[in-house]
Amino acid sequence: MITLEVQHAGRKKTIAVIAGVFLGLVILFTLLSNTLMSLTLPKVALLTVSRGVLSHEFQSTGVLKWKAEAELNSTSGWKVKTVAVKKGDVVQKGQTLITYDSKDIKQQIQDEQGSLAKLKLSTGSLQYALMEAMQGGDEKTIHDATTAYKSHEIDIETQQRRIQKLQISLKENSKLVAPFAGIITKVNAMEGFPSSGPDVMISNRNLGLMLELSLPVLAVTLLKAGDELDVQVNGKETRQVKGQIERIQDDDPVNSDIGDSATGNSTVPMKKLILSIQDPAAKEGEAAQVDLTQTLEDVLLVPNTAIHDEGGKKYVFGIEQKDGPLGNAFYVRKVYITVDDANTSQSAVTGGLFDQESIIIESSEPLQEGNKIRM
Amino acid sequence: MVLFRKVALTVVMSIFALAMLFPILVTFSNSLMTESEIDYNYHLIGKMINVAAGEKNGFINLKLIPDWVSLSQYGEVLVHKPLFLHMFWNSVFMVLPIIIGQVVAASLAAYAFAKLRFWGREKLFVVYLMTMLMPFQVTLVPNYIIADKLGLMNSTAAIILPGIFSAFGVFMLRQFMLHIPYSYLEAAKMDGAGQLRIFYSIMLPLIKPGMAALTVLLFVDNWNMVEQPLIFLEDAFKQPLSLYLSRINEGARGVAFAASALYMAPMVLLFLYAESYFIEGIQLSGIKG
Amino acid sequence: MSSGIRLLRKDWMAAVLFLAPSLIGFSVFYLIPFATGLIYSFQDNTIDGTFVGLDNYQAVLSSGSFRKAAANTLLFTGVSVPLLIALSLCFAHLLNRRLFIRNWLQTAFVLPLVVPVASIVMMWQILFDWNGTLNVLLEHLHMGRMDWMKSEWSMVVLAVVYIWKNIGYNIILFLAGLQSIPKDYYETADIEGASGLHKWLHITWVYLTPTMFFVVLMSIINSFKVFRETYLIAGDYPHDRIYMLQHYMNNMFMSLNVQKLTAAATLMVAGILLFVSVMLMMERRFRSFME
Repeated sequence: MITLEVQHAGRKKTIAVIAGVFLGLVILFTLLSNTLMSLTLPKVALLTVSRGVLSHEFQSTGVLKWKAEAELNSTSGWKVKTVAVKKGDVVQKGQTLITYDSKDIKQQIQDEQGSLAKLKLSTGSLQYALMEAMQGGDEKTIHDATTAYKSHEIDIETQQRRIQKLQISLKENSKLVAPFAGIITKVNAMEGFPSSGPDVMISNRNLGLMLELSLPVLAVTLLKAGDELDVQVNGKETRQVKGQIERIQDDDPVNSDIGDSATGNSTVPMKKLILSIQDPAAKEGEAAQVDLTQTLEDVLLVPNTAIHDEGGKKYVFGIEQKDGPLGNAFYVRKVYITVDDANTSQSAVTGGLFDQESIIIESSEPLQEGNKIRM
Repeated sequence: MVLFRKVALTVVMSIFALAMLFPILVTFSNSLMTESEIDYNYHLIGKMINVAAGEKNGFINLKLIPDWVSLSQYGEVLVHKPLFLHMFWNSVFMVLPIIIGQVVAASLAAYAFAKLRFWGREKLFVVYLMTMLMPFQVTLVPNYIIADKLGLMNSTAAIILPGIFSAFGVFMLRQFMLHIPYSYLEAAKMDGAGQLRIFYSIMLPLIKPGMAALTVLLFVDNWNMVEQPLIFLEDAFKQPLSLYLSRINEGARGVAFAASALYMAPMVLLFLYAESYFIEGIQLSGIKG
Repeated sequence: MSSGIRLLRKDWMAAVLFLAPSLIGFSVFYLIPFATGLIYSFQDNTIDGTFVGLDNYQAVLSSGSFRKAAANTLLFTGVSVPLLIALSLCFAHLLNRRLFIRNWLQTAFVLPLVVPVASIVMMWQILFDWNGTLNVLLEHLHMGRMDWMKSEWSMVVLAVVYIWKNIGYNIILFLAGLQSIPKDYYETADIEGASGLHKWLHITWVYLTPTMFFVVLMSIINSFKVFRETYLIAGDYPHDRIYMLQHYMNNMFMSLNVQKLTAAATLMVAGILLFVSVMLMMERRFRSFME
């Protein structure tokens, strides 16, 4: 009986220990429940969305060119006799640039002059015949003589005009002269060959240089003709010059490299910007660069890394807080947004998001809507 | 020969005892399986296999020995199902006030029924007895209306208060007190002690085993509550563990065994610890006074 | 005598004091609800209802689902209670014999009593599902499957669950009864050369009868509690065979049909009261017979 009691007491003690351990574990797990739970959740980094300025940096480069550049052509197609200038020569107005071979036309003029002399020889006999007819002859004879004389006079005039024309042509085409003071930018003509294409290119020094740039439409929306921009000219040394916008015209769109490359064919409409550069030191052919900063004021800014794409629909992961007696729990919420504009690091968004709302910018595991997360 | 009969009988009884323990053993052994093993073995529960449509005919595979002993179910329940522990404490904090309240109120009333003489004592006791026999559903509507009037709806008080005042404790402790001879009390009365004093200093120490038995029985009965919280508690955050388990088959069958094991563990431990009180309590309630 | 009266008067005051906490709560949560329920059952509306006599009872009694529920409840109680008592008496006898590890065996039989219903619902499903373990056995015996929970067999399943859970309780009660029978009664009978059956009928059965009354009562009460299991396994609307009065009342509550619910409840209580009174009467007869 005593041993039974002892045994029974032993059993009771064992059970009491087990019960104590059980209760202890339950209490421990209750205390640790939130901690343990959160350890197994994806950890996320949050960002508070705020309003701000989205600035775009645009950069475009081009080469300085003379604004007015004239092509001087030979109209005759004669062979080039002498080339009097070379590229880079500064010429004055009226200066001879190229002379052409005019042997052929001179020959022709002499031939025509011979024909004229021949015509003049017959003038006397025709005058005499006319006077004779006037003194004695009948009306018909007078008429014929008169006609013959008049016709001869017209022939002489015609021949004289032809010679005159040839002489003018000789005078005009035998040489190419500078139409204005300028600089020779190119010489095509070669001595001894007939010219093909423009023989000489000459730029007008007085009108100065220009710069042609291609920029996205967005960059130029606030610009208008007449605005001045800073242009950085990279010659032997880098200088800052002023450029004035002369005109803005459409250009071909180019493929975009902003945003998700997977979505493909997004193009950015482009504009051509023509600047005129009035700077004595600037030289033609120098590389020039323009930096533009376009800003969108007071927009909601989201880092591009936080924006996800789902078949063209853009969204970010927001968070939703559910308060419970077991502590607060945070869940992932998908927020669809519209990206109005973006630069390389940030996007301006509308729709779905509010100022000061928190979004997830980074996560230890891929997230899905409704996932529980820890912060 | 006597020894042989004793061994044979023990073996036969052991087989029956194992059959009795079978559901409990299965629950504990299956709680050590991984969730995928549970799903593999029991995914056919409640499924009608359409053989005509080419589905493979199959059966549930009741297994006692896990392929791979793992505590993953327990980990899942204790770590990833915060509602489980929350409802576990709901159960605890629903059962404890009932036990404390009923032991206090019932021991007082039982003393009156057992040791005080007053008019209508037997009749009133029969009324108490009668309500013990009623199924819960009988007073469902009036109970609901009263809980509503007292503003107890969707509050655990709607379960705790009726639990405290159920007739069972009065009945059991009265049975216990009937066994205590009047002479014990008479002696004190001679010394001029009041009834309260007699109750407190003489009766209470004597009925400690009875109170222990009542505690065990009440714990078992109330830990097991299903109908009352189903009606009175709409908020899942306030419901006891029994309702969590009744819903677990819908969503989390993989952890049902561990949850069940954790749910029955306090009861089983309490029973094994206080088995003698438990049996004493049952036997007392059966002895007529 | 005069001291007795004084004691009585003093006791009256003390009794009020001792009873007050319990009686107030008991009244609010049990007596008053029961009384109001009784009143509702005779009215046509819970709020400002008028007295309609037995109309509600008529409605309930003529309702098919109530009759079905009542018949099922009666059948279940009528079959499973005697079965449970017979089995538990049998096991109590066996446990009362010379045995090894008797305490452990007794513990094993009582343990189901403390196992919460909700934690083994899963177990019952595994056993009695269409694809369940019992059907695996049947298939092995080439007997074809049985849809246990959706056929007449569902009540058998319920009886098994009921017996599994409550057998320990009755065994304990019977064991106490058996152990309280003085050993020398049997010894005397042995000397007189009585047969085993004779001894059982004239000693064991007679001395167990007071326990038996209580066991029957408790078994009936516990048979009502099997609703928990049924509800958790099969839900609000189980197979027709196990649609019990509690289901009926629960569903009346859900559909807010208070009149039918209270009338059905009153009928059930009346049934229980009738049975208990008969039991108590028999017990009193038995006692006077013993004395």
